[in-house]
Amino acid sequence: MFKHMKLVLFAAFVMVSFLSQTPVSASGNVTQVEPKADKILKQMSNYLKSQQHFIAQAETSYESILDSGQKITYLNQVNIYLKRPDRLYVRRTGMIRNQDIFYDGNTLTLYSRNKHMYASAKVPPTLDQMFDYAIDELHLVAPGSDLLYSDVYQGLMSDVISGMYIGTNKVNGILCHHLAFRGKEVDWQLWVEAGNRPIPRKYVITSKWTAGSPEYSLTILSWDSEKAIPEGRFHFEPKEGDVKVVFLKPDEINGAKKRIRELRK
Amino acid sequence: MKGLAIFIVSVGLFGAVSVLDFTDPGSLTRVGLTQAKAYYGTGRRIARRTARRTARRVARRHNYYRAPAVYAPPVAAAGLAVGAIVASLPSSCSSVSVNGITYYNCGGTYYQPAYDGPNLVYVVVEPPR
Repeated sequence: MFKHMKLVLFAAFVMVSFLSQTPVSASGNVTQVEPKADKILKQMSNYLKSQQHFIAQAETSYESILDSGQKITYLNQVNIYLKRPDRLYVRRTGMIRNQDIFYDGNTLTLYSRNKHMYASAKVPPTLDQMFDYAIDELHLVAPGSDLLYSDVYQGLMSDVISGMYIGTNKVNGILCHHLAFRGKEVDWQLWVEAGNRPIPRKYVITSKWTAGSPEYSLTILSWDSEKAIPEGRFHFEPKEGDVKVVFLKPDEINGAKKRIRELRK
Repeated sequence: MKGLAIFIVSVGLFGAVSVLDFTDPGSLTRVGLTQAKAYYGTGRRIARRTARRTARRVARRHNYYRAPAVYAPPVAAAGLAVGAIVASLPSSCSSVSVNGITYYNCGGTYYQPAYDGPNLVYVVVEPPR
């Protein structure tokens, strides 16, 4: 009897300590985030939300693992012009992408500057909804858009298992708080500017379950929330010689894939 | 739960960079890639984004992922079926405009340019009339 009592008490102790140390988030994930990391992430999110408009210059890198296992890193320069709640212009420049994205609260246009081809789609009326639509329906996914939603904290934290405050370090000469988070699918790190402008200076996502663990990174080089953005920036006007094309629908892509699978049998 | 995790992984590969997006038929031979590599979506793995939107996709039951899908078999371009998607056009194509839509006629096979996400691709279509 005494022996069993001990066992029950031990089980109760384990349960209580487990519950007290591992809060369960709304999504049902067990999360362990250091308060300091959580606080800085919230400050950054609130600061971004308060920015009604901004112009940011960034550098991004994508890693691509070839069939041979060789890792290739592609760099892009990105200029972001954002006005809440419903305007965006992004200019991407790099070896692979020389593209502009226009969003004016109604239409999203993707323009390839090298090939002079553009596609337009009617999209939802706010940035948040537009990003979701672009990802789900148009397959336009820019990982950096994680930082452009109106509530960045909510989005970033939705799959987090744990979060740590690592320390301070400089990114391009700017002192930052270094945070590291672990998710079920990806791990990610943020360097948030120290001081009264908690700007995300660097963001790294690691796809840890993909062989070769490719990473995406974004570094913000400049941030201007003073300069007004002319309305024309968000509208696309085709020039002579520009060719209008369509966005492929998911079933067209899946159809092509299915035919290949059948051919291979 | 395990099935869900596998599904998340399977839909997780986006934010894609096509290795071949910048190539044209001429540069393919210059950089020494094989003809097979001209077909869109040859095997590669790319960094993906945070899982937030992945979960959203699961909820919406989208079943789509970009890489390493191969959309067209590595056969001679002339043998491509309607609906096949390639990353670049074969050589010596002429552009044709029918009813305001631009097509490319490459030795009798017609291609329509389109965006698959951010990637400019070419879909084999019936000859436009």
